[in-house]
Amino acid sequence: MRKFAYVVLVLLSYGFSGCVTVQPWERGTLADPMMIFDENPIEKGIKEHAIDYREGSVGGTGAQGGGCGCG
Amino acid sequence: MKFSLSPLLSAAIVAGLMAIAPAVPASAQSIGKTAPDFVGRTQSGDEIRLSDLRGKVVVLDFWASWCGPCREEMPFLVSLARELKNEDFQIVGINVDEQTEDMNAFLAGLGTRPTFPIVLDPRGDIAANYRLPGMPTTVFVDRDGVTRLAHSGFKDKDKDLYRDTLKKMLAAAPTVPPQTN
Repeated sequence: MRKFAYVVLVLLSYGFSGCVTVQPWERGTLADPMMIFDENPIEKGIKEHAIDYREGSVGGTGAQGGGCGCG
Repeated sequence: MKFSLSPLLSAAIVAGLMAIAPAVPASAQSIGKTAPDFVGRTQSGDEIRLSDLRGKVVVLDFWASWCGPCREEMPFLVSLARELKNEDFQIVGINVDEQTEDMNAFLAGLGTRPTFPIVLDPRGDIAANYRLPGMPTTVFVDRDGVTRLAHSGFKDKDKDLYRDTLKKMLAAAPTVPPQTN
């Protein structure tokens, strides 16, 4: 009975996780500029460019944008 | 009912692994294997079937209006089609926009109209079949219908890769005689 309860728990946990993978070809909405969490995306881009240049690092600032999904 | 920690922990770990499993990126189209056949329609209603193009080198370009690198890639493919217009190859664009108007607006903004057919795949059926790892994805299919390169994304340096791959594939003779109707 207890094992059955665990199995049910696992299955329920999976059901409640709500995780889905948005496939690369389904990212039209995510790629919309409206999805950028910033008041001024242009300014953000300039700041990120400055940080990239100063720190010698690129990326790690979000996934929205062109929808390339290719890293 | 008394629960001990370890079974609960195990259950949580299993649930966690199951939850993240779909997040593993889809693999690229298998190189060296026959490219999945498809039948698609262009905006003008023409039917395109990949297997009908057997005997030609085929470049499948999966793209969308919302895809940033596609804005760079599409004009290049248009110029590549012009550059190699006397060669026996066919570019087939596969647009995954949900709304055809978005595609048309994108193409209107290009300034140059593609000379190759563009198949509409608004539900992503063909894209799903090819398990695209990203957008755009460009698949090079040889004369035998075998995938030789599947490239995701597009940068300036990829132009040489595309051109060289295409020229090598065009120079190679088919191992299987092309189908005749």
